[in-house]
Amino acid sequence: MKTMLELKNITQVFGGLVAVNDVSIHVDEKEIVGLIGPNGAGKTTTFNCITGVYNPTKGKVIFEDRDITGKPVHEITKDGMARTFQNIRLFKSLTVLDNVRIGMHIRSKSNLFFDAFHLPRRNKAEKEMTEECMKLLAMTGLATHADDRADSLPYGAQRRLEIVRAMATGARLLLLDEPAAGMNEQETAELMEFIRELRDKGYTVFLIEHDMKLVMNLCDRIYVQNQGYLIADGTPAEIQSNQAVIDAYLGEEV
Amino acid sequence: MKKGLSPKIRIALFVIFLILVATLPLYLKNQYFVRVATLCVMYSALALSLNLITGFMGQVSLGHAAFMGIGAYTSAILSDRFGWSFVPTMLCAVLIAAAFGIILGIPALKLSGSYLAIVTLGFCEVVRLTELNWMSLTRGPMGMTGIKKPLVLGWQIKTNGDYYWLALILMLIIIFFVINISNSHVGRAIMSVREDEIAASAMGVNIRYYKVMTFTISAALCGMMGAFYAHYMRFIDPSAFNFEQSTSILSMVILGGLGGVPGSILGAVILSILPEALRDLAALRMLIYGLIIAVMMIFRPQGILGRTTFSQILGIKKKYAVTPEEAAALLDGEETPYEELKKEEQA
Ligand SMILES: Nc1ncnc2c1ncn2[C@@H]1O[C@H](COP(=O)(O)OP(=O)(O)OP(=O)(O)O)[C@@H](O)[C@H]1O
Ligand SMILES: [Mg+2]
Repeated sequence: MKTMLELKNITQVFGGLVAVNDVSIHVDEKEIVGLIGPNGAGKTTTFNCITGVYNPTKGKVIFEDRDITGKPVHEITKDGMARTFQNIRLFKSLTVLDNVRIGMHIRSKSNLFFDAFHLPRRNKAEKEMTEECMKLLAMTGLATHADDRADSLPYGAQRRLEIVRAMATGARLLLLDEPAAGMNEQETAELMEFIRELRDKGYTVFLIEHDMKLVMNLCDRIYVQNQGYLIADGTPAEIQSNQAVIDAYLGEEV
Repeated sequence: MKKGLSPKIRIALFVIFLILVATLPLYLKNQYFVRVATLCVMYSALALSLNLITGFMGQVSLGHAAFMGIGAYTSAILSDRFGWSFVPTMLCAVLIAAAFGIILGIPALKLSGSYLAIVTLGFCEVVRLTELNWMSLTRGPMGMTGIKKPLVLGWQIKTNGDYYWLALILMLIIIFFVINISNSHVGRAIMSVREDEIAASAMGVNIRYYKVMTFTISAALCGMMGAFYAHYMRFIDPSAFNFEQSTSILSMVILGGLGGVPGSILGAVILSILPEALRDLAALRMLIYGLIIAVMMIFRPQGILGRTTFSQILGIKKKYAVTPEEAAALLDGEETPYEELKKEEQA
């Protein structure tokens, strides 16, 4: 299968701390890949290196055969990948719909001139955009709440809204940072179902998660990170029986 | 806010209000009141342009008197030295103020909050000192006198009423742009910068571009009102464009409402009339002024009207939320594990 995202020996240093150490990862098209590891392992930092928040100290990020290392965040989003945040970062005081419409920002067919003069082209772009956003919201059960403030939604729904907003960018690769954090069992089950459907729709998903049930049931492959290093990768079954992973992270219960 | 009235009645009341505003010089015979009304309109326009930066983008600027000054001097000099008529001088004022907006937008890329406030304040002072000391161009502290009454596309402005209408037209132009921009994808990008810069850039919003753009548009609109100011006062000197002027425009935005058009207008009207009403208490004026702002910051930090829009006041705000049945229809048979959220589920 075609490789979509490739990290080549990524290292990220903060002062004296090596948060990500020589990490190489690849994510193939239409795969669901997991990144797990204990708190402070460097998972979120790895995501930040991919999405351009940090320019990695060493190494390369290749996305769809192009080197995107060091590109600004907004340009990487334009290239076709989008993310969610571990500590939800919605546009809190804007409406649910506006959050998604901002997600669609880069695909808008209008510009400052058409907007400022309220020309037909702006109206058409706005209408099409709103229709598409409402469809995305309906897919996640949020269409009835389109006019509500984003921060008035219950926690689980806010996480969903972040995923919808990332999809709205037109991304083909979604990076989800702990999408099930704080969800109850039922919500987690719905989320797993939803992520499977995303794959059926053609999305590729790379996710960080602490919920082992979700990770083991959902992911095709898993990478395990500990203290910056990758200590293992493989199928869920391989990871569950890997002694190094059990020692560092999974412990006795799995 | 006028909860009980139906949109029809609200619109009718609004139309009556608009007619009263548009015909004000016809029934207001006291010329002093007409001049105060003109100030209200001019400051509304200035507050609206600053609101783009402070309300919609969430960045403080104490430099807006400088843009007004740049517009005023550009327009006055072109009219005085070259005999240009009002509209071309105003367009030049807009362009030159916009160019300075780009210059001030650049520090805004790196700074925010009180640091940006200090830099913009410094900008205001630098521009004022330049106006004060560049004698050959601006006549420095003596100011520029005898600026001609404007001829606007064949319409010779003569009376106080004429000035009022000219200000009203310019304000409508600014309202038109500010409402259109705030209701569009550009406006949403600007607001996303206010809400969360990291999330905004993750959504593909080019933060630098939008920051500089917003400063540029805002400066351009201020420059336009500066051109009006010069032709209205017919005398300008650098002291009119000092830090105090910047502060009072900012106070109008804060008092009326950050990020809303009706709020800026209300704030500007209140703070334009208040100093006139308090003329007898001139010594206490700044004190009372400061007190109002302090009380607002404590009890109603979003300002009197907050982000209320005209369509909300009129009860015609477009609703997008659908019923669960309509949501199902939107899906058009596609699978989803999610049921529509019920109202009760909400936190
Ligand atoms: N900007 C930064 N500056 C300095 N240190 C940082 C920075 N970002 C992260 N770190 C450190 O890097 C290490 C890895 O952090 P990271 O957030 O990537 O961990 P994580 O695997 O996502 O953990 P968690 O499961 O708790 O989310 C931590 O020790 C953290 O304190
Ligand atoms: Mg993390």
